[in-house]
Amino acid sequence: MVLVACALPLAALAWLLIHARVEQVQAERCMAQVTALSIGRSTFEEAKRISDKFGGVDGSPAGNACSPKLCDLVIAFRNLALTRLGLARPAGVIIYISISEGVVESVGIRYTSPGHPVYLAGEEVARTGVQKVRVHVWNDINGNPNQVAVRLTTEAPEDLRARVFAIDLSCLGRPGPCSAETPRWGELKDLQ
Amino acid sequence: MPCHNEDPGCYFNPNTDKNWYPDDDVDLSVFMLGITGQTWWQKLGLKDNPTNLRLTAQWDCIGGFGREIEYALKTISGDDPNGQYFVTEHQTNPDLTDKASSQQRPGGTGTTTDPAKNSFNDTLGGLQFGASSLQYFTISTGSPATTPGYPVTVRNDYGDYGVLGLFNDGGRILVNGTWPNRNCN
Repeated sequence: MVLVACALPLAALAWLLIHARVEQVQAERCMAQVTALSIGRSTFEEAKRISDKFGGVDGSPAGNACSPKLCDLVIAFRNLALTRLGLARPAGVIIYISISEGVVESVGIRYTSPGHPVYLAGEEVARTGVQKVRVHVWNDINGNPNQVAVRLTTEAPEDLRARVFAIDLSCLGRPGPCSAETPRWGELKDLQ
Repeated sequence: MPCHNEDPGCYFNPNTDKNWYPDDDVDLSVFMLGITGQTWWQKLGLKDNPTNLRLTAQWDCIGGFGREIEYALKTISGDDPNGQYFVTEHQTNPDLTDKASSQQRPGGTGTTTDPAKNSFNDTLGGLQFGASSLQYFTISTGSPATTPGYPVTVRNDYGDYGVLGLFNDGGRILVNGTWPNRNCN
């Protein structure tokens, strides 16, 4: 009886930890596939396939159902299992894919990890008059950053793209405080 | 409870957490006007009457990170203001857009931009699905950490609002129940 009483909570905890880890792995797989999309060339079908596989939803403009002509897809991963039991503070990633005229026009990633600024990383089709790299920092009332956005166009250097999208998602699968600074904001400050 | 410009004669001072009715300070106003010829807002170092300013949505669309609203500070008639101001966002539930951090004090997310621009880029998204919040904005001549802020009315396609209601609908942030009808690109 005592054994059962001990085993049940332990089994529940193990299930939660496994669930959280699965969420992290799924998020990493999804992000790898999304960042492998070629902006301006990848098709609606390719993007839709990724979205369907990872439980994405339609976030298209009001009055427009998702179609190859115009579609916005939203895919979210969160550490819900951990936060509901108070084992971790909210962390997660939301991935946005924008499609216009049958082609992926932009991707964006919104990453939230406890104790760090919300990080937004995106890439869009290069357009005349739009800088290759744009950084926007929102500060809190004391002047400390609480949200950072890095927007690249398809003309940005590949190594920079790799840095900007190198997001450590380990906070999603781990209970307790998360010390992983994601993004490595210290390394990206030079973009400002 | 902050009056948020619903009462045009009322101002909420986030530093004291109290509402302020300048018109009630009759003796002081009369005294100030008599001595200096300045209005109450000039006396406070402002170059514009905050009640005559509108934080006007320049665009509201679906961008690379969810919803994006670009606000610019304008006069009621749509002209640029005389002064330059920090624009600070406040939310009753800052968790809605994940911006909360231990550095923030109660009552606001305190998100600011360059005062010279008299603008605010609101990139709305977040993980707290199903959460709601009230959002309002203040302007100040200096850093909002040390300078009093004055509420400013938001103007969008639907009207003028002292406070906006936000709701996180599965990652889509509805503002007063609306979702934009176009993409930013």
